[in-house]
Amino acid sequence: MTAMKSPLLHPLIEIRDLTHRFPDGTPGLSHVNLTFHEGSFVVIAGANGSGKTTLLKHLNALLLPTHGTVRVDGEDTRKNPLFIRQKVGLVFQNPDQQIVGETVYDDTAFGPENLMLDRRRVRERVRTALRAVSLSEKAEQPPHLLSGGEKRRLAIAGILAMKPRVLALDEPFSSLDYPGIREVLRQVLALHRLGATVIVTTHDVEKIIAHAERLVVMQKGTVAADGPPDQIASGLERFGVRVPCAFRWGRRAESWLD
Amino acid sequence: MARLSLFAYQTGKSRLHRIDPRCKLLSLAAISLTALNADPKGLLILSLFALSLMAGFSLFSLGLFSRLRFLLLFLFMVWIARALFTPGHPLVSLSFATLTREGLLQGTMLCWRVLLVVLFSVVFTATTRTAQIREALHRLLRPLPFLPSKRLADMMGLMIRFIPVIFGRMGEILEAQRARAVDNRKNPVYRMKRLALPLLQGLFVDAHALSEAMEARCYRQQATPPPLPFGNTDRAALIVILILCLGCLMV
Amino acid sequence: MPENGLKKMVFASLCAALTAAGAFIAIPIGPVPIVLQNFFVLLTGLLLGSRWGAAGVGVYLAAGALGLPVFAQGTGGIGRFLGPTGGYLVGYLPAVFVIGAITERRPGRMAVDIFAGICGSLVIYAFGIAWLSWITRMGLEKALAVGFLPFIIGDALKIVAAAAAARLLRPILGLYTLKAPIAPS
Repeated sequence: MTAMKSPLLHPLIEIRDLTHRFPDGTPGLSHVNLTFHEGSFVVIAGANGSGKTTLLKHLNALLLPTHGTVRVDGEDTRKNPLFIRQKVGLVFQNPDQQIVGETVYDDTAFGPENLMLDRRRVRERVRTALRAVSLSEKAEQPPHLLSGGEKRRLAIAGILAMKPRVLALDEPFSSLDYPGIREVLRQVLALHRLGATVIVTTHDVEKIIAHAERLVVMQKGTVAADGPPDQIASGLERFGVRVPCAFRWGRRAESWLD
Repeated sequence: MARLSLFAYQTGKSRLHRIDPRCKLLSLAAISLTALNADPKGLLILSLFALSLMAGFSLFSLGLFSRLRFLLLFLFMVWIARALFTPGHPLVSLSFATLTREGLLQGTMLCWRVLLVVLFSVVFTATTRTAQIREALHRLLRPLPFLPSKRLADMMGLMIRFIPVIFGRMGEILEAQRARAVDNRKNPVYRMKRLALPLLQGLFVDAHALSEAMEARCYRQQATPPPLPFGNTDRAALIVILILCLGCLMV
Repeated sequence: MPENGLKKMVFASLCAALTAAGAFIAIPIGPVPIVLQNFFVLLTGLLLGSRWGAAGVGVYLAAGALGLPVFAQGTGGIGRFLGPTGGYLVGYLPAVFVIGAITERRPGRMAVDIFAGICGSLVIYAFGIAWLSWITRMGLEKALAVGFLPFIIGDALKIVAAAAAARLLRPILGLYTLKAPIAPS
């Protein structure tokens, strides 16, 4: 059985009929069905308020379904949030709001320390994570001295140190300059090449579309479109998302790294 | 940000960095107590100690004095106020106030004491990570019953993290309001309101986002504790400091 | 740990930080400087209630006792508790508890909040003046004259301001401390 399971087809996250209603009664998500496979690179696009962030928080058990189920690696998110959070690492939109440590090293160590790993393994994981985002030289610096792109990469390192199988990034390019975007993009792609499952939300698909294997479009809390980018990207305008230039001209998307 | 970076940690591997934070914390408490109660002779010894510590571990920098300038300015004002408004033997009489010998003396002593406490705090925070302070606190408070020392220590860490955020946000809001000509409004209550409410709202939203990010990274009461080896050097250092403090109080 | 606990803990830490920031803004007059600290103590009690309010203030006081520069004029140290203004500091803790306990009974009523603020302030002054008159050996009357009367108007303003601010901030906090999750960002 195990031998037959192709890593690309293993359904790592299964969302079935997910509906979420906020305490004040506003609907957040309604009847969302999605499956994400191990090793895939998915972009979730949608206008502000379309439910992208709400969906991501469900993958991490920060939010729980009002109705329906979310399973990560076969486990219901309602049952064991701590297990889920180790599997799915969620990088939030604003890095300033998620930095807890007073040095780059301490911040990266926050997650593995909470997992009660012993000191030696914490150190190993922090070193590996910082190397993965090219911040090793800044390990002893206070985070507020970092540039925008570096802060974003630190936020990613903090998640990587927990060794999640899925890396979920919420608007990873917002308020970054061009070099910053390229820095973050390069790191995320490198992680994907090493086998990480990557899920990225954005309202600006231009920057990342060339690398996506699948594009999910959200609108008003529902999945409005789902498929390979080159098939559905040209119809994005209807959902309040700008169509990438290349698709307007009927060409293939170009990577921001070339 | 000037006030805040005054107490920032400076990376290093000096002996002072390596001393157990519990030892440093207890020493700091003892020294602050001494500085606020000692006579001029004791203060002189403490000052020499502070200066030699700072010189020995090259904590002196041009930056330090520019960062201290707010405090120095403030202390200067306190000193003037004390000197002018304390009753006693008049030295110089002005129309509205009298410079008295007692005032001069009292003001000098007060400023000296405060400055000493601040200098030792600078030495302490410059050589101790907040994570270590937190752990030291946790260990020192653990023997006390009914006190959730881990939570208290974590909260203190969060508090220290929030202080620069508060001043940073305040600066941003002030500038944004200046751009919209708030300076034309002379009513201080109006301006206070327009500053405080968005500031507080924003901070609580920030705090919520932080709690969510901590949750996403599996925050728990138990976590891997940083190693704190309380060795013979630490014990010796603590004893020396305590003797020094007693000495300063006795002379 | 319950999910709400973490949020309350972060909010309480923020309140402690605000109290520390409020102490930086101090106007030195006489032996007791005018500060914004107690405004934030009032606000902490009104927003977080008795238990978490006391936790926030307790953290603030503990940080100060350890020598972190969080007391008025950027000083700290355990000696501060023994100085002339130490009583006010100690009084913050029972005060925030009293405020929280009163406001918890009837949440969201402006008049109740103001009443809670008055009670809390009186607790602070009871501790502050008792200590001030004892440590400086000045009589109770003189202590009231230096340590209470000059601050009445300012404190009345602070109480009203704290009640008004609490009214505006509660919806934000309430949204976040409900059992269920929050609105999308």
